[in-house]
Amino acid sequence: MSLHIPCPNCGSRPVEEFLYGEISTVPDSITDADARDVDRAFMHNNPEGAQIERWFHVFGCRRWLTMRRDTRTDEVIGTSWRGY
Amino acid sequence: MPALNRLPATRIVATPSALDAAAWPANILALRIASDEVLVTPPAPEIKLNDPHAIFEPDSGFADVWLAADEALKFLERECEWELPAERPAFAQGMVAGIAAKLWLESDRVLIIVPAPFVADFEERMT
Repeated sequence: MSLHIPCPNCGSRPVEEFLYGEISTVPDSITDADARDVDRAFMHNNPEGAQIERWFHVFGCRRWLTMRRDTRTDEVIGTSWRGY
Repeated sequence: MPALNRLPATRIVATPSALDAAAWPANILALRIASDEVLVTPPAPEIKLNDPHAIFEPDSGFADVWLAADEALKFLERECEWELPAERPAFAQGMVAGIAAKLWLESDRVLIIVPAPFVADFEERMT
């Protein structure tokens, strides 16, 4: 059972049709400016819980969408064109 | 399975409201790829839209084939992971046999459109 992403234009499609686009975020616990830059440039997000992601529908409408997903359950909380 | 042929078309990019209000001639097929984009076949560069910045571009990057509905649905059942729309006519797009395909579904026949570079692969997977 693969993850299905509800594209606002095309409908529910398997994740293989999409390209992932990370929205890089820096944890608030990092306060040093240089460390924040390093984290933003080199570290991936790995939160436990809901996170906002961008996905590009390569095999369909070829548009970027914004998705809110719970990383613990892979539940898609919602999708939109712009953001949350 | 019949061979795919190059699809003559016009790609139109305009505001969603202009495309919503557009009156498409009866003899053309207007496929709404996205809210602000339509693929029109046969080519129709003379269509008037309520958008002064609308872009009309000849598009020869696709190939198409018409299949009888039962033949097409049998193939799609095998090669399409997502659910097809129930109503007819309907437009749908997504991965079919590993290739980005666009489908125009009518009650008795189905138009399958694929990017021209993948025609050989698609024909191979149709058999």
